Amino acid sequence: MLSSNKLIFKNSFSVFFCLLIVVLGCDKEVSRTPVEPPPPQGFIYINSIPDGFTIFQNGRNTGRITPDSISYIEAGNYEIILKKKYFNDTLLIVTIDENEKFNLNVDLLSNPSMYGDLFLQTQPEGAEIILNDSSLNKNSPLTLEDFLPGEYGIKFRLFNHRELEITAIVQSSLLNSYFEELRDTSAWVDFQVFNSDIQSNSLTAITVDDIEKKWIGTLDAGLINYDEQNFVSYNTNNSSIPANRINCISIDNQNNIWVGTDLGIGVFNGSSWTVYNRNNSGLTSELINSIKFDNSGNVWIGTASNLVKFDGASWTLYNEPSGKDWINDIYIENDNKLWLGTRADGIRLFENQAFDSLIIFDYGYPSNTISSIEADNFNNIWFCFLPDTAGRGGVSRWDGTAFLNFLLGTFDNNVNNISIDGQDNKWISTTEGFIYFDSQNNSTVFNTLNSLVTTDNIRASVRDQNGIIWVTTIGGGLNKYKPPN
Amino acid sequence: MKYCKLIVLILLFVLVLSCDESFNPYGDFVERYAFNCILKSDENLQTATLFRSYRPDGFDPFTYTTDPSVFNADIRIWYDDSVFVFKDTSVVRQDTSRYKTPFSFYYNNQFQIGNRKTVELEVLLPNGRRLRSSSFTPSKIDFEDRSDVLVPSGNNNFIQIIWTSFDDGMFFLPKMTIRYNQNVNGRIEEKTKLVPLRYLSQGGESVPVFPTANASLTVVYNINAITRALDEISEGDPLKQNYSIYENLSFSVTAYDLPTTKYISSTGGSIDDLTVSVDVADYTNIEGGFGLFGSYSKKKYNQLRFFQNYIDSFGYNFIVEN
Repeated sequence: MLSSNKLIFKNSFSVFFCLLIVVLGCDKEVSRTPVEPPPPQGFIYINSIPDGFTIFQNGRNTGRITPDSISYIEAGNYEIILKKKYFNDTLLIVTIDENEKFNLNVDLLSNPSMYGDLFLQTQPEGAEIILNDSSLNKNSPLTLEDFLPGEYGIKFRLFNHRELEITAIVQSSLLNSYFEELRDTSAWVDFQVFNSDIQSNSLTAITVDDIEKKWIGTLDAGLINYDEQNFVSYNTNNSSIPANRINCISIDNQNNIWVGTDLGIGVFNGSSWTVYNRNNSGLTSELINSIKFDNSGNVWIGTASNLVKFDGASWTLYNEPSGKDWINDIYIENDNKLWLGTRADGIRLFENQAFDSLIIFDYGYPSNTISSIEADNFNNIWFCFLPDTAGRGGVSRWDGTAFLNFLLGTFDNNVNNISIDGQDNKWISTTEGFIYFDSQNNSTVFNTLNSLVTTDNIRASVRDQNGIIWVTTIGGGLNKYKPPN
Repeated sequence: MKYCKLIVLILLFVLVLSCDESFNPYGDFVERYAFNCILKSDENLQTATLFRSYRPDGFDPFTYTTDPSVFNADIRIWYDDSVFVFKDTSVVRQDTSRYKTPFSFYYNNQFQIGNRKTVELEVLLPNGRRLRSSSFTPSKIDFEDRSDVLVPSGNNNFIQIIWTSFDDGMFFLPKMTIRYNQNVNGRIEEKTKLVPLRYLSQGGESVPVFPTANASLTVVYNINAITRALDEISEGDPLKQNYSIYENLSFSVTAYDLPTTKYISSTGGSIDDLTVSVDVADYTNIEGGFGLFGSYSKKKYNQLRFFQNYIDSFGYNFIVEN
């Protein structure tokens, strides 16, 4: 019995042992890359009215702009913020279930707080308001309510005032106010680089041709032609003009434009340039200050070293015996009598091929440096003076026997130019403003304190056939003055 | 007893059969992704590559000749409060020995990195998987005044450039090149010559040793190596006057960020300006995949110039720059 039990135990143990081997014998260690779970399939499509809002997800800029979507996201809550310049931010909380496709349509225009107000005021009031090139048929001051945020082009238009264009910004939930001062153009109109197409604000000489085009010299941008529509520049980059600094301009009877520069003479016939300099002419100095024409068809040229006559073929140089020959301006009284304004050597006469002097000590005019000479309707000759070691700036009138001096402004005032119109009005350009002498020599000063002239540094002026005075300035561009009738 | 033996035999039979299992050495193929991008400080064009793993037919990997690039991924980098989205494009592959199809990459030409800024990356693959990474751009490098400015430098037989950086333990790669013009049949060609640190004699041959990226804040060039580099410019050409050497040498130090430094350390090799090996097995900072997302900042040292007499001694012309 005992033996039988032992046998049963022995057999049971053997079976158990074999089963253990079966179980353990198949155990293997195999290293494998773990299988990644599939990506989440959550999806939010975000559309906004208007579109173009940047989508922020949980505080982070996604770089996506509405309409766009955020894809492959897990289930959960998402903080979506829509941002756009000038608009209030819009916060939305979106809950996404697992693999849910969610459409988020946001009508921002239905939210009153998204809009802003626009207040437009002008000085003076009453300007017509043009919004994005469409007239509102309303005048300033004006409040426009419930405007969509953004940038708007606004124009203010008022008679006898310069049209003003601004970009008005409207922001959500704000009253966006604009106060604009309109420039009065009833008397003065300015053309500067910042408000027109003119190529320079530093202008020198000016003249008007027989078709009313203005020819304007500059310090740095060559010659400008203005037909009251467009400013066209002729400079060393686009033409054969000798230099960009223009000292004087004259128009001959063929309508050719003669410009004097620091590098010779340029003659423009409307399509091409002819240049005269030391290499191809009789000029010994290329610094040209004055160009005038006599009745015989000769061109008289005042240079930094002599008086020159050009008859169309040959060049003749005239040097004063003392050698003091820097000529700033020439006035031709007749073919045989020229008045010369010099630098530091007073007034000279060139008569019948000979030089003569009107010495300052004898005649008592303001200084020895003459900038400009012009004759009035009564054949009086007017001289402009610059301050120098011999005297001060001013104007003097020669009536054939004596000088009558007008001491304008301070001692250091540079009187640059005089132009005399058909009504015998004198328009005098100085560095202390623009001075008007009527036919009785009553004077009026226009400067930045009492007028809308852009600067006190006036260089030259010319009157056109409509009675408009065109004024060149250094630093203030071109000014147009409409004298009262 | 006989019954028991029969049971044991059956169990042994079951044991043998139950362990039979067909074994596949490949296992189940799971597609993996490698993204590589090193952002640059010295240009706006930033490039990145994105590849997937593949299994060729058979055991020869070279039988697979299709570009393994992943297209249409959405790659975005957050830098300095802005998000930059990369576009994909492809160019004709020059080396077609491995892959035959065009080489594809992603690019953005809207930004360049500055110093000490956080950059974050997210790549959304077309199948919805995401790769993420971030880094911190290198600090500014400042060259020390005690660095040499003239070549040769007095009586020293070496040129030393020293710099400082906030970053501790990062790698820097110095690079010196000589700029010169060569007159080739009347046509002037502008060329450069990379300067080694020194030359080593190996097996009777002189081998140049170029700088590699390391943590040192200084570099020393043997003057003999510079002389040798100048000689090599016109080696074999007796017309030395056809060569004009620019007065100013070009010297720059590239500072790498932490991930790129770790990558270079792990591979033990050098790195050039533009490329990272695709099979970056040793180091990755790409969450959800493999590869490298890093940055480098390059700083030029503009003080180093040649003595004219030194250049004259080679018979070369000397170009002075203002």
